This record gives sequence, C-alpha cells and structure tokens, in this order.
Amino acid sequence: MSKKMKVMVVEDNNVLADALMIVLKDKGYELSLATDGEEAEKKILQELPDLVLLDLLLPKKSGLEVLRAMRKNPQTKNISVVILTNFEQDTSVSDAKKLKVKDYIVKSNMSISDFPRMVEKYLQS
Amino acid sequence: MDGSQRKKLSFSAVLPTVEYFVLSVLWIVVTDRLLATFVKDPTTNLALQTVKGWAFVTVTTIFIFVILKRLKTNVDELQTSEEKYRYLFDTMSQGVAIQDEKGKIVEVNDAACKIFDASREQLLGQDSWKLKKENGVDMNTDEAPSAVALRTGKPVCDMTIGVFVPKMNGYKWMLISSIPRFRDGEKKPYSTLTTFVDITDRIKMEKQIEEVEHLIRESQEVAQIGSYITDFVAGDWKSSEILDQIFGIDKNYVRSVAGWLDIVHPDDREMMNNYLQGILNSHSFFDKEYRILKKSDNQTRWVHGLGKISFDKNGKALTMVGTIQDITDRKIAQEKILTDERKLEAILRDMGDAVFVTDENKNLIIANKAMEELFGLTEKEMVGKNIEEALALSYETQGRKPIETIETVFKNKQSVRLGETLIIKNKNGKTISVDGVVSPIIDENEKLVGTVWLLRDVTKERELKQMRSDFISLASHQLRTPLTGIKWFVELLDENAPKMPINKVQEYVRKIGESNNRMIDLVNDLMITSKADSGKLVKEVSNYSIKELLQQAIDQQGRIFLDKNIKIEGINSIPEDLEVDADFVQMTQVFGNLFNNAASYSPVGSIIEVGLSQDSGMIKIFIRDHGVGIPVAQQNKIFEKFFRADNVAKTVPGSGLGLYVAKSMIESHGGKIRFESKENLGTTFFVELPIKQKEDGKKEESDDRGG
Repeated sequence: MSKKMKVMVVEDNNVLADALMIVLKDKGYELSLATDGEEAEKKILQELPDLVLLDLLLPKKSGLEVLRAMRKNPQTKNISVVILTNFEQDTSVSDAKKLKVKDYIVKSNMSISDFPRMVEKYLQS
Repeated sequence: MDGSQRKKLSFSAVLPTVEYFVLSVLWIVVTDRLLATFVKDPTTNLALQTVKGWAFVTVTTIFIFVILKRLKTNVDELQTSEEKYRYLFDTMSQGVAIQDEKGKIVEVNDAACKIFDASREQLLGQDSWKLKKENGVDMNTDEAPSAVALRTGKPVCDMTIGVFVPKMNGYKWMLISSIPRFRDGEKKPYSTLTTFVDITDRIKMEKQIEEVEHLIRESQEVAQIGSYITDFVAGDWKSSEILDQIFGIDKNYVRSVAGWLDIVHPDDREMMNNYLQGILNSHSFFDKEYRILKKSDNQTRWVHGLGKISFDKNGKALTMVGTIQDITDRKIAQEKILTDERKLEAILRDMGDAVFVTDENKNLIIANKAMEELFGLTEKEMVGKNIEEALALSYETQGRKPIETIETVFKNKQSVRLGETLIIKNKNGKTISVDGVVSPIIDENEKLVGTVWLLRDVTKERELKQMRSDFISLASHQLRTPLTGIKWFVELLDENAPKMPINKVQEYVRKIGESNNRMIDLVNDLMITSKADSGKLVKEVSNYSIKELLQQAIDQQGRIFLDKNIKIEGINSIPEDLEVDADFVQMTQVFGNLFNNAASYSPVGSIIEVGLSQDSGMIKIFIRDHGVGIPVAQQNKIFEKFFRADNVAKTVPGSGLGLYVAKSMIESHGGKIRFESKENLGTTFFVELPIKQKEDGKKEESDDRGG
C-alpha cells in the first residue's frame, strides 16, 4: 500500500464517535471525524476520503442531504459510503440505497470489533 | 159517460126554448084581446073571426117550428159535449176507473189502459187485484181505496199502493184516490170513481235519492265532513248533523257569525276573522285550515273549511255554502312526520361525517354541513354538479379517480366501502384524506334513483398515525444511541481491559455511565411525553405561591448553577402571596426545565434573570438567559418532540423532549408559553398562568386534560 487509505467517520454522538475512533486507529488509515452535516460536507470536499461512515440524523444537515450533495459533485460522486445509523425507517433506507451506498448498518446491531473488518472490506471493493 | 151529467146538460140546452114558448103564448093572448077591443060584435064579423083563427094557427105553427129547430140544435150540442168529455176523459194522464157497487170495473180511460198495459176490454169487469202496501206487505182487494170508499161511503185520498201488472209480471207503484158516488137520496154508494197515477219512476228516483243522501251522510260521517249554509243577510247559518258533531254543539246553539268565531280556537280567532273579511272583500273561495275548541269537551281540533260565497249584483254577500272537515288526525300525523323529518334532517345536517346524495346521473343533490367544511364549498356551490368532475376525488397512493367504486355503485347497485383512502383537494387547496362508504338508493322497482356517500375526514387520524410512527422511529433511535455507546464500550473493555492502563479503563467506564444516565433521562422524558400525548398526565391541583414554585425549581437545579457559577437574579422581588392553581410536581418540572436550559446554554459565570408581571387575571413569568440563543431558522421547531437546535445538539446532551413536555403541561394548566431569542445574545421564555381566584377558598380539583 503506497498511500494511506482515508476513512471519515461522521457521528454527532461523542461516545459513539470515541468508540469508532478508538477501534479504527492504528489500522493504517488516515482517520478523520465530522460531528455535523455541514462539517462533514466541508471535510469530504477537502479530504476526498476513500470511505465515509455516515450517520443520518445529524445537526445542521442530515446525512441524506450530505450524501445527495456528494453524488451531485463529480469529485465526490464515486466515494464509497456506508450508512451507519440507529435511525431505521423504510423511507430513509430506500432513499439511501437509491444514492448508491455500500451498506445500511444499524449501529446497535454491530459489535465494535466488527468495524475494522468491515471497513477493510468496503475499502477493497 | 156518466148519466147525471147527461141529464143536466139537456136541461140547460132546452131552457131557452121554453122561454120562447111562454113569450109566444103571451103574445097570442095579447093579440086576441086587442082584436076583441077593435071589433065590437065578434059574431057579426065573420071575416074578422076567420082572420083571428088563421093568425093564431100561423103564429102557433111558427113557434112550433122554432121550438123544433131549437131542440135539434140542443141535441147536436149535447152530442158534441159528450165527445168533448170523452176526449178529455181519455186524454187525461191520470188513470180513471169507475166501478159498480160490486167493485166491478164498468168504465176506464185510455190512461188506465196504458198504465196497466191492457186493453179496455181486458180491464172492464175486473174486480180483484194483487196489491202491495207502501212498506212492501201484501194487501187484500177489500183494502183497496175503491173497496174502502164503497164500504165506508167516504173518499180515500192519495194512497201509495203497488199494483200487480200481469203484462210486466211486476208491481207498479200508484198514487190512488177513490170517491164514492151516490144516487139522490141514497146513503149507500152505488159506484166509485177511482183515479190513479203511475209513480213507479218517482218512487225509484226517491229511493235512489234516499240512497245517495244516505251515502253522502255516511261518507260525511266517515270523513267527518259537515256541511253548512250561511245566510249573511239574516246573519245566521244552518249546519248538518256531522258539523254539529264536529263543533260539539246542539240545536240550541246560536248559529251566528259571532257564534262561529266563538267555536274557533282563541289563538286563531283574530286570524280567522280577518280571513273571513278578506275573502268577503276579495270574493274568493273559503279554503282554510284552522283550530277550533270543540264546545262539548273543550278539546282543540283541527278543521278544514271550504266554502263558496254568492253575492248579489251590488257585490253584497248573500250566502256561503260549504263543508267543514275534522282533520285533527291527519294534522297530528303530518306534524309527526314533519317532526320526524326535521329530526332526521337535523341529524343529517349536523352529523360529524360528511354526507352527500347524488341522483342517478351522478349529480349532487344534497350535501350536509360536514360536507361543506370538507370541500370548503357551500351546498349551493356543490348542488347540481357532477361528482366525477366537480369533486376532486382521487386515490391516495395511485392519484387516480375512484372510477371502479363509482361504477360498482351506479352500475351494479352495490354498497361499496372505499378500499383505500381517498384524497380530496378542497377549495383552499388543502389535501384531506377520507375514508367512506357509498350506497345506492334503489326504488321499489329495483331502479337506481341515486347514491348516498358517507365520507369521514381521516386526515387528523392519519397525521396522528404518521406522528406515532415517526415518534417510534425517533424514540428508538434516541434509545439505541446510548445503548450502542454502552454496548461498544463494554465490548472494548471486555476485550482490552487486562492490557489497558487503569485511567483508560476509568475513562471507558465513565462513558458507559454517561450513556446510561442519558438512557434513564430519556426513558423518563418518554414516559411523560407519552402520558401528555394520550391525555393521561393526571394533575393534582392545589394552590401554591408562584414564588414557592420557582424557588423549588431553582433548588432542584442547584447543581448546574453551582458547576457553571451562574447567578439567579430577581427571585427575591417576587411577591409571596401571588398564588396559582397547579400540580406542584409538574410546575416545578416545567420551571426546572426552563432554568436548566437557561443554564445549559449560557456561558460560565453568567446571570439568569427571573421576574413577573400581572395582566388581566394572568401571571406572566419570564426567565432570561444570556446564552447562545436559538437559531432563527429553527425557532418554530423548538416545541416539537425530539427537536434539538443545531448549535447545542452536539455539546449539550438532551432528549429534545423537555420543551415539548413543558408546553403540554402549561397548556393543561390553562396557560401559555412563548419565547424571544437572538443567537449569541440569549433567550427569554415567558410563561403565563391564571391567577388563583381568592374568593374560591380552598379548592381540590382533578383535571386530566392533556396537552
């Protein structure tokens, strides 16, 4: 691997963000964190990450709005996105899937130790 | 012809002839005396004697001739008279029969032959008849008028008797009179003269008239129709038996116009008097329903009066003839129908569900109030319009018109429950969801005459349903977040604790604790929210000093003020005696929440002001902070469930339920909550509550109204 892969976590809850940052650090990725929708949008454009773990219910701008903006921008439209949320509503799932997300994951159903493997999988695909 | 009549006739005809004869004799005697005077010696004058003799003979001859001539004329006249009388006798319309002392017919006239439909010869000599009395009972021949007249010597007049006529094999009704005839000086009649008239037709007619009258009387009685005739000139009226029954009056009742008005119900009297004057002036027909007070029992009855007035050539009213019918039963039935109709109409008008009726051509003919509200149109605007075109009905999901539903009702004449919720775009452009049933109206010939639609506005219901589902999604999201935090840090500890430094372990445990506390707060808030939403937030109301409530709230939140070094100002200037009716726990929670928010969103070391004013029975409390404020774009959302403003969502933990619950509670206390805010300058919340009315004294009350 010549260059470090960039992974961005978008999570407004500090406890969950902490856990994700803890489990993904030291895995050889360039990690970054955004805690609201606007910050996420800005950082995605700046850093052009390889994978975004995107929460949906976010302050200022929702995850879906961020995703829509990404897909409209040629620079960001092919970035891999995994929706990582505790919000489970049929409409938001189908909306997200239309916007070509890699996966739609309900946080509480995941073990924290599963994340490194999952991130690796979506970075390679 | 009768013998006595003939004798009398010849006597009067001969009488003048006798007079002539006497005069002639007288003339001869005078002539003889004159001759004797002029001739002194009759014996010596022979010639004179001869002249005398011839003169006498001549005169006598002339007189005999005249008498003979006269006699002949009389006989001629007599003959002519007899013919005349015979003619009269035969052309009489009355039948005449003359019977001898044995009752045998000796003479009849043509009319008699005609009545009996028999020839003269057949009738002559008859002495017995088959007879019937007026009441139909058989009668003997010796009871016949001629027999009675013969027996008693007294005339019998105008007896109505049925006489059997062999030719028609039936009875003819006759009006018969019979007079006895006497010979001079005899006391026992030797003959009778009987006259008779055929009154069969008249009897028949009378019977018919009687039947018709009976029928009229009976039908009047059944229909309770009485009749009257009013004589305006004499100022009285005559009434039929039925009318007397209807009015409840007897024969002695004074039948004047005033007497009639006295029968009219007092409430209708003036109206009826005016009505009568009106039709008298306008020469119109009397046709009016009015009430009477029946004289016999003082009961109120309804009558329908009809009458035609006749006027003289000067326009003065002469008489009025008419009928009066008792229509009380009909009127009561009508009233009942009307009341029932009104009831039904009121139910239809005011029922909460929208109802409309169409004719068979899908045109709307009736719409109720709820329907008007649903479509935002008046009934007038809707009536006559085609439901497919005028009413913008479409399915909620497919967006097309419910054509099959309409077809099922109109073509198959079947009731249809709308399978799917319909959407109505009303006049104001508002979208309304409706559920409903459509039923056909079918007449007795199985023909469709219209349809009835019942629509129920389910917009609110669906909004609630949507809200509930949104709430569950949001609540589960909110609950999952701290649970996920606990889960993940427990997993991290479980895996790594043995090789972790103790301070790291402590940090993880604190994070678990933080999530756990959020979880508890969240569950508490959810409980209260759920109670507030379902109206089950029970208040235990008592009167409390507002100062006491605020102080309690501040005390409860003491920790955060201490932590952030925040001062509360103004609480001491609030009067002690200002009281409100409130649930202590709820009100301290509301104010505690507002103080907590104020402190949470304020910088360390800032000031929170509290104070109040009074205005028209309300206490207006304000709590002012100098914190971050609420972004303008989100100010209209802060009382919504789970809402957290962007500028605080990450930094200050919270469920987003506090203000929602506070608003519910304040409103259930009859109060209001609002705020003013500027970002980075601070927020002021205003709470208005009704002031406790002192004169009510102590009042315990329970109110479970929700927010």
